[in-house]
Amino acid sequence: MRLIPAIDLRAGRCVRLLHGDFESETRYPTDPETLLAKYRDLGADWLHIVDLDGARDGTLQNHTIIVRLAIQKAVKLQVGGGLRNTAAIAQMLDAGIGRAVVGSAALAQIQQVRAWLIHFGQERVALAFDVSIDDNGVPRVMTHGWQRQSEHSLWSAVDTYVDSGLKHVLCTDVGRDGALTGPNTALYGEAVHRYPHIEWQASGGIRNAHDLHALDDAGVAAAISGKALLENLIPFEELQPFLPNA
Amino acid sequence: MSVTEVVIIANVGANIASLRFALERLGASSRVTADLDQIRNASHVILPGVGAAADAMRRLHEHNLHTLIPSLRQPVLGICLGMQLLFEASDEGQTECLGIIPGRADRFDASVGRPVPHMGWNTLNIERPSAFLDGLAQNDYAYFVHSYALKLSEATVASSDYGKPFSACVNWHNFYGVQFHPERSAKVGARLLQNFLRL
Repeated sequence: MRLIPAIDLRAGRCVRLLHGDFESETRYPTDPETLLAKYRDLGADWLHIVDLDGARDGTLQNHTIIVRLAIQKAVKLQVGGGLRNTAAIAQMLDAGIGRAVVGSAALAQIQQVRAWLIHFGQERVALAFDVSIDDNGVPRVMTHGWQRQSEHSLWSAVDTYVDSGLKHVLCTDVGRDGALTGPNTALYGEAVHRYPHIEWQASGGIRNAHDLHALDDAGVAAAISGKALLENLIPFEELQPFLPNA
Repeated sequence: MSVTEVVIIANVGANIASLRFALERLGASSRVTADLDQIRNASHVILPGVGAAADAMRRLHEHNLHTLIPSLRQPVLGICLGMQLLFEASDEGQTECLGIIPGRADRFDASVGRPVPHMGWNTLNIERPSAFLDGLAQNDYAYFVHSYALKLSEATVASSDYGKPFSACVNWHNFYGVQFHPERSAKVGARLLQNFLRL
């Protein structure tokens, strides 16, 4: 399993939201370029960048900063937030972004997203599903910056794309994200069991090395962590197994 | 170090990214393949494995690896389930394994405070000297995830204890095995992999 550090951008700054709530934001006194350098030096080969402004209103407010991070070519970037039309994705990929992460469009514009997977390729388009677990234990997909719940289960959403070559799926359990309560390993274990050919990226709730080992055991391909790394909660020696360039 | 051509046997159902990172840190490039010639010609062969013994053996049979692996003469390292597969059999699904090392994996008994799988860091007890264990000390920690284990035997070079002693590291002729995950066991794991690559 690979550890992918996350950088969330809002108005050009590094932040973390608790449970995706735009009102409960933690700001970090680090600029994105310094943070990228820190994670590169740690040994990461990919970073996960989220444009929170874009995720909320569909614009590309942090585009300039993201392009500036990409042209350093220090690490590969996967970028999400606001990628809802072909031009936005093409612009990102042309600017040197390794992979576009498509979120709410994956439910709202299914034919379009299928076309992106085929046109840009399965390595360059990842789908991100933010889920919350309903009363029956079913992961339900949330949309629009976690402000709306959809009728889709995670499984029906993934089923929509298996024939289009879908390979990388990022799944965030909204109930765990930014809360340091431990990742939902049961959810990821089931996801890997149902779709063993998909490279699952797990996001949300990672507190310590034990959580990383548990995700690796569940069979996920990548663990995305923001807060635990920003706050240096895990000693380097415990992170090293999951960092390709460490 | 002489030229090492490490081959990781594919299709055993393992998550091998961390293993490849660990080998790269040691300066060894690795190839993941089920191709019989490539495995035969490798300087070192690694048999990883997670999941169920029966599934892993079925996949080895599908690729005729069940006859190739016992015939290998270069150093071979089985990791976790991959180590158990080197033995005669596993109680997990009453599976016949590769039959290279005498012994049979049996299941841990769960008890209060000792859940199964055995999951997490545990100490190593060195049972006898081996080049495979160079640089390791008594009570060094390694990271385990397993429900089945091998009793101590002639093949045991290091043991661990989880309600009962079990084989943590084994060596039988050119075959080596680790019940824990060296690729996830920090410095101890890196040292073991390095020792293996120097065999």
